[in-house]
Amino acid sequence: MKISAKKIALIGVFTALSLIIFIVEAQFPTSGIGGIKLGLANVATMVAMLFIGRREAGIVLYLRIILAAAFYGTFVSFLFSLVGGTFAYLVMCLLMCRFDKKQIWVVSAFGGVFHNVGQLIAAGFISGTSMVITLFPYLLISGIVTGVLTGLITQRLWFSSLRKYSLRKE
Amino acid sequence: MKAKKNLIWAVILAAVCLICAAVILYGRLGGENPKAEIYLGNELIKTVDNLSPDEEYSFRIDCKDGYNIVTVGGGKIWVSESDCANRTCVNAGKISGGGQTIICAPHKLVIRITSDSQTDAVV
Ligand SMILES: [Zn+2]
Repeated sequence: MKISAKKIALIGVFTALSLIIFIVEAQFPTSGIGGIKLGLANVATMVAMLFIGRREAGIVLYLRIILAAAFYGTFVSFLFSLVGGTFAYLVMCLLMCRFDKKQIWVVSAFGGVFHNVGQLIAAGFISGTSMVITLFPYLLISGIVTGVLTGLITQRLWFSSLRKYSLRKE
Repeated sequence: MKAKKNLIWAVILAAVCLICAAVILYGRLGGENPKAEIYLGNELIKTVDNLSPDEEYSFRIDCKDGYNIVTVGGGKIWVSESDCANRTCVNAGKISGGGQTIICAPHKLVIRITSDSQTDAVV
């Protein structure tokens, strides 16, 4: 795979942006059930997917997860991000090209739900108890709500003047 | 056509949210004398029968990976302090209703609320 300098630059920009968003978001004490976060860093992953490509979005995602863990994460939080992030990434890779660009918010909702399902599985695996399943309805709602919100932000960016920087002709 | 697609998806996602909300509310309904059950590694280690003591109190639960401080008061129970890796248990906040759960995955700790009408109904 030949990667152009422009692509590398864009991957760097998106990774930096997503890391900054992730760190800023981590500073706010999360409240409510299970420490729900909006997952704004996912906007950078989705925009990268739309503007550059699926593979490059994966690079942005995993670089962000590794860098965030290196900065101040713990092994457990790294594992949660890794499993949740991978679940969300895979489902969005699968759906993004099948949905209209006006339905990015739907793709993102699926991403949010699968992110939480992944985290639930990780929590079950780490804690060794099936009682984590009681959190499922909460996580389903929060995945949909946060996914729709981040998806709408992403959609807004796609239909903005920023699109002229996109490497994809669609 | 595209607007219709948006509408269909909005309805589907809203319906899923509503079903989940119904499940959550159903778990909280009709419970008398809520109690908190505390599990460590799937083993019931403690039951808190009175969630509304005259004065708020805390106790410590030690496990091989660290500790959690659990506080009880005002009809609620919560993890007030922990040295676990991700603090999800502390961020989970206070729980009071049937079916609500706090999980500290790294410490294999689960706090679950049950009430009289549910103790035999829920596995
Ligand atoms: Zn914890």
